[in-house]
Amino acid sequence: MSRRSKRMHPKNKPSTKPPKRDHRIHPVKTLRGRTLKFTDKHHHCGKSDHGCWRKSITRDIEFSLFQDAETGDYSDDDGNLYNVHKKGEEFIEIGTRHELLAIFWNPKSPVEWHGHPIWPIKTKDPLNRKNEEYKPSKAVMQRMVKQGRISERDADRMRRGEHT
Amino acid sequence: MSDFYTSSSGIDLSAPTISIPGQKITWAGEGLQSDRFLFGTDNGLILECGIDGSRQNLHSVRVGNDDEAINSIAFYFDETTLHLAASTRTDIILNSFFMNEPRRTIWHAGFGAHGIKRTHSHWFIAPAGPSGVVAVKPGRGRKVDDRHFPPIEHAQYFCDYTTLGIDLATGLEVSVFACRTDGLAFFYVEPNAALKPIRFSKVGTKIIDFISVTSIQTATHPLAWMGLGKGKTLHFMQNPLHIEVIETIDLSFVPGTPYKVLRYGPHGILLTSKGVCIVLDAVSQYHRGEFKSGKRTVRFIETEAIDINIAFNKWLLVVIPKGIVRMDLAEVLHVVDIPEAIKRRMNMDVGVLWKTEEERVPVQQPVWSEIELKDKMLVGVG
Repeated sequence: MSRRSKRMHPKNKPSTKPPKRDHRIHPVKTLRGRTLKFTDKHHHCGKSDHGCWRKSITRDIEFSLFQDAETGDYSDDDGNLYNVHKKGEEFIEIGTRHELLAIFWNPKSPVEWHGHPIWPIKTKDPLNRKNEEYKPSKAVMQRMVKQGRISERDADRMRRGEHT
Repeated sequence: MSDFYTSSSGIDLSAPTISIPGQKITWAGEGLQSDRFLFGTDNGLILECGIDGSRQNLHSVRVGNDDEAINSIAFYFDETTLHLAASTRTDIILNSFFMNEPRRTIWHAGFGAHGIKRTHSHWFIAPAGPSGVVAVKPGRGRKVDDRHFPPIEHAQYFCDYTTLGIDLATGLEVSVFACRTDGLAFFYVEPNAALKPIRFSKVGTKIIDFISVTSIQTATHPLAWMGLGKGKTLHFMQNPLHIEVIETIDLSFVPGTPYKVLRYGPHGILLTSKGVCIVLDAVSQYHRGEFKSGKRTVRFIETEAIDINIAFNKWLLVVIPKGIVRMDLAEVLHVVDIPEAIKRRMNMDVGVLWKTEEERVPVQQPVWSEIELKDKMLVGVG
């Protein structure tokens, strides 16, 4: 075999450059190795009805909410995670329409998770996951109270569909 | 100047006056008779009991098929039937109790609301957040007239509602909705056509995040209202159907996140995340045109309450996680002199602390002095 034949065509050479980063995915993984994807649907909402993150909620904040929800196990029976954003005792609105509570959907497969703010009350035309039971359940609220994330009063108001 | 002292009336907002074993109360208000309260629970039950907490479970009715927490109840009687509506975060339900027949759920919406109230013309009206407004009226027999008014503008969020008085010019009842960042929405309530949008208003160039609104009507000003902004501002107006001055007082010194405003006679009552605040004479001063720059006195009672309501123009029902605290408002307001013995208990764990705050009321700024009324339809009929 000639020397020349061993040479690799430049096009087939493995690249020495790092792979191009997908900016829609947070670069850090959670402690359980989960990744979080930022979908356009929930980040650049114009007049759509989808729950949309406020611009003041950076991707790092969104990721920290996801990670803290995982650490605190604020999950429902389907494994979906929930969290609220707080500054001291005060709740910070995370959604463009005053939402306070975020949901991170369990993909139920080894793909990225994604999350968005949710309404405090069930809407006439459910925006996501039609016909699913309304979230979050009482059990999630109780778990958040037990972990000290929210007070019992806050949980009661959330169950009533109130902005806390 | 501020001072903390305990209430000599013995009111303790950390311990419930009324509690129902095995039930968590999430709403409290007037009962079917003047010696009863109605309660809604976190598992969808409606209970009635005496005002002293006795004779509990006189009625025990599950509102719907789910077990969601009740956030409001409204009712009225006609000749043969009790019509009772309730709302939760997932549904709005209308029950009717026909004479000598078991309860029937005659209508439900399938989506949630932040509350439900009855108009003078017997419509039940619910602010349903981003879904808009729902109006339902029981008809003859088991017929129901229901209307849904979805928002026509993006991001409108209907969070509170109250019925005002009758517009003397048209003879129609006027209603108002708090719409979060978008301001207030005014409607006529027509006996046969439910709601007819009047106008949608924003206050000057300032966007006010209204979260609660209540009537402060008088005989001469039947349409007067008082609204609470998320920034702890309290807004007053006498006639929303005409361009008129809106007056504002700043209550940013009151602790906590604001939740709700009520009117009790000449006073305003606020619920915040930190307690109940009575703004003394706010309503009467407004109607007399006496809002001026100067010191204002409020009384603040610390508590972590879920909700408050006034029953029979006498009781303030404070819903706390452990039950209900029933306060006689007249008694509360007449606490003036604090005995030395009680003052000495200041450092003890007494549960209730009163706080007297005196703050300057800001002079009305030009930007707050006019209301800009946009004559456009707020909602479309669904």
